Amino acid sequence: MIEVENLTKSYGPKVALQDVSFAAGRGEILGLLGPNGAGKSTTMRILTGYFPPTSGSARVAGYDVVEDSIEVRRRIGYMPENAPLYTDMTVRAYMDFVGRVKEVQRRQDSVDWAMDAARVDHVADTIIGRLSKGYRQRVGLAQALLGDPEVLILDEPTAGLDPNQIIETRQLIKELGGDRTIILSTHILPEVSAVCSKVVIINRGKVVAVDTPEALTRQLTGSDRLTVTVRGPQAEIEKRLARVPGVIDVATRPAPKGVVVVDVDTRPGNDVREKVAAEIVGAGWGLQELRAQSLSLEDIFLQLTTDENELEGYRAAEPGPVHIDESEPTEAAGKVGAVTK
Amino acid sequence: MKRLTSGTVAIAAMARKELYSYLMSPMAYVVTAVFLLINGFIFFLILSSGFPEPNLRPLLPTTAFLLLLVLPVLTMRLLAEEKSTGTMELLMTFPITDTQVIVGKFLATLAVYCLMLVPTLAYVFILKAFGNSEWGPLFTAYLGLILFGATVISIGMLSSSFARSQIVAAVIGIGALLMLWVLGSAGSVLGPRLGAVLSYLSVNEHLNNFLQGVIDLKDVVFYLSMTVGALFLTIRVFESARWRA
Repeated sequence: MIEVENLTKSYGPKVALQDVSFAAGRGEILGLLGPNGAGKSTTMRILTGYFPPTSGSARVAGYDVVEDSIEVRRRIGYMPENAPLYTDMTVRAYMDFVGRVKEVQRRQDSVDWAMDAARVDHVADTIIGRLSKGYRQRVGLAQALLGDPEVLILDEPTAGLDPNQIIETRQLIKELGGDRTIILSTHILPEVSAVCSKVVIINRGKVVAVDTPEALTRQLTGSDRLTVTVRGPQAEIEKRLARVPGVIDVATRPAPKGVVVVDVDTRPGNDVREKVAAEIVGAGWGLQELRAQSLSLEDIFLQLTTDENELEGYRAAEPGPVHIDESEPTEAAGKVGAVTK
Repeated sequence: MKRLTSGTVAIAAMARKELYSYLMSPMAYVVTAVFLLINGFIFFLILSSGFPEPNLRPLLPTTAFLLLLVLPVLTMRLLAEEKSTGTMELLMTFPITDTQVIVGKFLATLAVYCLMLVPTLAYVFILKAFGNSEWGPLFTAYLGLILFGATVISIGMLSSSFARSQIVAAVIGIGALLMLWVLGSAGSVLGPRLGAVLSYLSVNEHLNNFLQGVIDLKDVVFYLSMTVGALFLTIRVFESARWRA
C-alpha cells in the first residue's frame, strides 16, 4: 500500500532525510518514531504530496506521490501536526467543506460518521476557534477520516490530548486499522507498542530500524533472555542450566535467603522455558519465578538513536520510563529527547 | 469531461468556503460599511453642488480610488492567513489543484465585491427618478467597475501570496495599486512615448470609456489580461511554496 524507496530531502545544504526506505501493507499500523527534527514530518509531507522529495520515490496505493499527486491525495486522509483548521468555521461547516473538496460520496452520512468516530459530533455547531486544543485535534482527525480513505497519515495524533482522550484516540486508531493502512508519528514510545504493528525508527534523517516492536527487541539483544529465581546452590545451578539445549549463556547473582537469580540467554525464537523448569525441578531446587525478559521499546530507542557515551550518561542520570518532550528542541532533546518521568 | 466536472466542483467548494468565511467574519461588513459611507457621502456632496451631468461619471473616479484602498483589505487574508495558520499545508494535500484553490478564492471575493456594489444601485435609481439618465452609460459604468474590481482583487491576491502577515499583504497591495494609479500621470514627466506606455498600464485610465458609455474592446482586454496575469502569478507563487518548503 505504501512503498518508500531511498527517499532523500534536502533543505538547501541541510539534509533532512537520507535514503529512507520502508513499506507498509494493507491493514498495517506503522509508527514513525524519532526525536525532534529526525525527519518524521518531512517523510509524511512527502507521502501526502505536500512537497516533492529531492530524490528517491514513494508510492501510495500504487500511485507515485509526485507523478500522480492528485490520485494519491484522493486516497489519503492526513492530519498534520497541531491540526491546522479554519477557526472561523463551525465544525460541521468545515467538515462539509472538506467533504466537498474531497468529493466524498454520500457526503452528509460520511460527515456524520467521521464526527461520530472522532467524538466531535456534540460540538458540530461550535465555531472551531472556540474549541479546546484537544477538541481541535479531534476535528483534525475527523477531517482525515472523511471519505473513509485507504491510507491515514497522522502526524502526532495524540499530542495535546488529555490521558483519557489519548486512550480513546489510540483505541480508535486500532479500530480503524482493520483494512486501512495507517502511518502515525509519535514522540511517545509506549504509543508505538500500544498501537503499531510495525515501527520505523528515524534518527537524523536516516532509518535506523524497521520491524515489529517484538522483533526489534530480539534483533537488538541477539537473543531471548529468561530470568529465573531459584533456591539452591549457585555454582551447580549455573553449571546445569548451561547444559540445557538452546541456552547460550548463563549468569547468576546471589539474592537473600539462599536464593539465586539466574539470567539465561537463549537463541532467538528458541523457547527453553519448559526445559529450564524441568531441569530445576528435577534437581530438587525450589523454582520461585521464571519469566521471559525483553528490552523495552525505550531501551531500543535509546540504543538506536544515542551513541554509547550519551546512553551511559542518560542511564546514570535518569532511570525510569521515558517520554520525549514536545517542547522546543534543545541540543539534548535533538539527540535523545528531554526525559520526563 | 469528468476532469472538468471534478475541477468545477473543487472550485465551487473553495469559493463556497471563502464566501462562508467572508460572511461569518466582521471584516467584509466593516469594509462594505466604510466604502458605502464614504462613497455615499461623496455622492451626496456631488448632488448638493448641482449634479453636472445625469450619469455616474462625476462619482465613479472617486469610487474607483476608494476601491483601490478598500479591496486589498478584503483580499489580504486570502493566502497570507493560510500560510500563517498552517492551513495551507492541509489545503495542499487535498485533491484540489493550486489553480482551483486560487480561482475559487478569486470568484468568492469577486462575488463579495459585487454584493458590495449592490447598495450603490440606489444612486442609479435616484438619478433615474430625478433626472433623465440613460440606461446605457449606467450599465457600462457598472460593467467597467466589475472589470476594474476583478483586476484590483487579483492584484490584492498576488500581494497576499507574497506575505505571511495580513497587514504586510494589505500594504503591498495598496502600494502596488496606487503605483498603477499614478502611472497615468507619468506622461507629462517622462515624455510622450514612455508616458503613453505607462498610461496604458494605469488601472484607472481604462475606466474612462466605460463611464462615458463606451465599451472599448481594448479596455476589456486590458482588464481581463491584467486579471488573468495577476492570477497566474499568484498561482505560481502559491505553487512555489511546495518547492521552497
